[in-house]
Amino acid sequence: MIFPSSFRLARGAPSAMAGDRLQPARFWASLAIFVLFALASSCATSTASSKTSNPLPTATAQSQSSADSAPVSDGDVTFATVHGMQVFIKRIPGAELVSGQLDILGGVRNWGKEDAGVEQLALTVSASGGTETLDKDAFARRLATLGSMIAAGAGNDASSFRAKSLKENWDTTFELMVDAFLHPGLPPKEVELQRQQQLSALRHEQEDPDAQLALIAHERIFKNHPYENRSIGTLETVNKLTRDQLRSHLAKLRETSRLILVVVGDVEPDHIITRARDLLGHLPLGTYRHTPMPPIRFDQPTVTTVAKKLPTNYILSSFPGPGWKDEDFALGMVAMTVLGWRQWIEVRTKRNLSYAPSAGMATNAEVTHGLLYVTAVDPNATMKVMLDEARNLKERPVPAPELKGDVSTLVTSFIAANETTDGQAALLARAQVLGGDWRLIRTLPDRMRAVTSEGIEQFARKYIANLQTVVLGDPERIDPALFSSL
Amino acid sequence: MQLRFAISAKVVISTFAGAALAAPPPIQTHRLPNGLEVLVVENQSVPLVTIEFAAKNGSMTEPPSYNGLSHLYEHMFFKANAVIPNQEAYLARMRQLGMQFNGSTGTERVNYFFTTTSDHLAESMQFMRDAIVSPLFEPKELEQEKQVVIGEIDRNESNPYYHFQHEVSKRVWWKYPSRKDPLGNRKTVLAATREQMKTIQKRYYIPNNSVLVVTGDVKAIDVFQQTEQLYQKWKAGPDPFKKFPLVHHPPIPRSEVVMVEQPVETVSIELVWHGPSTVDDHVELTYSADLLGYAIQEPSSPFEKNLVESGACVHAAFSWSTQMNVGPITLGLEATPDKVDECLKAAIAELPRMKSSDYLSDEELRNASHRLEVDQALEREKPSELAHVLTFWWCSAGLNYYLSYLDNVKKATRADIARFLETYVLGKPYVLGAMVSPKMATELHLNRAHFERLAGIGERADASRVGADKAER
Repeated sequence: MIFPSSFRLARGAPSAMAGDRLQPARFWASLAIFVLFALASSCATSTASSKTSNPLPTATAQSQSSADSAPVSDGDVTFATVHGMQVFIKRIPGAELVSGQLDILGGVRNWGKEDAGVEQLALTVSASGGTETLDKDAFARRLATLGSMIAAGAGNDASSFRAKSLKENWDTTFELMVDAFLHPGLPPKEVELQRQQQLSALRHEQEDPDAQLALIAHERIFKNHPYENRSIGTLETVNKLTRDQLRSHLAKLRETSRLILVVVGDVEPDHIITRARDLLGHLPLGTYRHTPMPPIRFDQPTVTTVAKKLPTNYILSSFPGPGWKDEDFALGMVAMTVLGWRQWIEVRTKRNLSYAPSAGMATNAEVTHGLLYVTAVDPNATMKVMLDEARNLKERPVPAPELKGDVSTLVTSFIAANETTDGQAALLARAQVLGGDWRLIRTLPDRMRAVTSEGIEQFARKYIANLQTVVLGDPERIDPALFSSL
Repeated sequence: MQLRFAISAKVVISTFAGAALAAPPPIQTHRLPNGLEVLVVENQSVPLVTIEFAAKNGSMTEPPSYNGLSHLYEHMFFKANAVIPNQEAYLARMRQLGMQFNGSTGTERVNYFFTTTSDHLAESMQFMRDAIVSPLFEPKELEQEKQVVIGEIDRNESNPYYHFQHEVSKRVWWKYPSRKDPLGNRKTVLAATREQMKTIQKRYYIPNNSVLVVTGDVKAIDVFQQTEQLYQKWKAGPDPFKKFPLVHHPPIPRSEVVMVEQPVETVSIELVWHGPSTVDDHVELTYSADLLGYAIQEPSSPFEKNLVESGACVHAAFSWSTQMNVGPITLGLEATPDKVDECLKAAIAELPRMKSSDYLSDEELRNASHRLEVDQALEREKPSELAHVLTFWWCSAGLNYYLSYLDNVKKATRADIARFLETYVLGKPYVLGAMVSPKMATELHLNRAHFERLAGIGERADASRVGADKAER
């Protein structure tokens, strides 16, 4: 493979940085890929209506009224509120498959240090353990007969149930998904089974160097931040979780003020809204209000080295990035893409110092961060080149053809992320949940195309500083002064 | 000109019998006079096009002295050619064309793909052609790229699972291990020469050993026209597999255990048998193998219930890998250290049950083939991935196999599944690999003798040593 999979993901970040959301079902695995493109640009969300004079409500202005709002269409997207729940439908005429995502807001706000992992375990058991009326086997057989898939997982800012089916089977699949959310069976045997699998995922993090590096970096940059309590939990917390805890945690989530439903496919918006009202409209509105995550901030560069005997050294540097709503967001996407290409050329093509240099933005959370990543047997020589390139970005203009080309590669990546209905649902939901406005995804390509060389220099000067670097490998080969020089 | 293409192009439609599924977009095919097969799947859902080239190459063609060189060649594809002077210029052109790109090397396929916006189709087709037909293998670039490939090997060797797979594979394919090892090794990579690159090019990168797949927002007729023009001077060569036939992998002589100690947190176990091939006399058993594999991965299957839901194993999977030259059958298990015995015993006990007539219900078999059908719909939904799917099948099974695949899976019966198991698994020699941490090996006595006892493998048969004595050189 000419590129490591991590590089492809990155244009953003190494794969291990995809966040701690588990992707239980096989088809969700593909989602991890574009999670990290951080939505390089929009596309399939029709651009035709971006100049509409009929703006839709945004997530941060979530309705706290129990009254439903009438559906409003903006291009191919229709929005409505159903008893406080936000519902988005994106029509794709002729699509063979339908995807839906029920996002549950809160994320790390919903748990603490002592019960981290509770939402992840509660949701996976809900999605796989059957319901009060269909036991695990009957539920699984029903899905198999339909050829449908349902999965669930927790994340930093929101958790989600996700479903995908043939168009003809969407209504039944949606009913099953909602049943799993509202009336899960939570059989004790399934709790134990999913607990073991969650523990297994935690143990595997210690085996794969990329995963271990990502974990060390996460602990470093989110120390004393709410994201510190990862959704997957720890061996200690997951081992202690009880079925009663899962049950009461789930009950807390069942309020419409924290729900966002996105459905993408060849569907009738009115029908989707009606079904959403029928199945979820009876839930209490609740009192969920979005509270912004505190930013991360570092006053000086640091390097954390963890010794591990490996054939090479794994290196990851992070810095706080602009949030989804920030006007620098598109700038960051482009700047880090330019830097990623340059790292590739300078580190790999010209100096063959590494197979896997990359740079990008991790944008799968409200609090984003930029990343420089590389594996190298000569970490000092490699890191010097990486850091020099980052400095160059602050000081030298990016030639217009280079900038134009790199924006084009981002646009291609983003459109590729929009090829599938589940891809489009995930992107739309992400913009709504993390940025408070789904149209951020629609406007992203134009915002990226508008990025200038001067803007990139400003971004680099403002953000690429005080790098928090972690190294997994041989401490003897690391020059701390060099690694903490930017 | 257009009329000619309209006449010579074939439209083939895979048969999807599921009533709920829409008719899939046809795969339009066109074979050039030089033998290059061109496949096009039109899909206008997003303004992207994916151009993918694949050759029947990879480790199946590699004697020990060439092990890993198909992969090195793959890296050199992205460097200088007759039109592009060096990799910097190559990358600059790709950035100009807004491309996502990559390549991969497997046992039976090497593929290269570019995805970009459809307005760049013509330029991208030309760019692909130049890389395919005129790589230069500049000595300086070759030497540099060897270091990059070594970096890739470093990363693989940093992962415990690489070592596990590698050690098991060496025993399973004991006579010709290099033929199933696409990554190769440092020694051959570092010793690689430009002449070896040219040998690979001359032997395998010929139109009559290759396929070009274009998917997405294109018109097949345009693609066929462009390929006619772009590849008309590319000359066919002798069928590489006549002069250099695939090796015959001799059976595993007797069951054996291979232990791998790595810094891991759980225990991984693999039981691997030689399975059928897509082109041999037992091709019909490949369909029953896949039907079985799909049926038992459902959470309600007896396999999942007995092995995973019972609490014996954390994960369990049983599958056959689609290959032209002996696909391995793998029973993969993960267990916590305290349940290793329970997990392996449960798995071994499950195997004979899988052939009984009441193991899977009619409904479960129907659902399994329906899952396969829906999976194909998922593949169609993403044209950029569909290109990879098509080149994979083209190389390892042939287009006709792929087109009739679902029908054949649906025809598979319980008796076929039983025959598949009896022919390849039950009572047949296999390699049992187990990966544990040094601490587990010491404190819990999870050693070779322990696994031999558990699996009922009698006297230790060091097939690896026997094999090594006779391995291909």
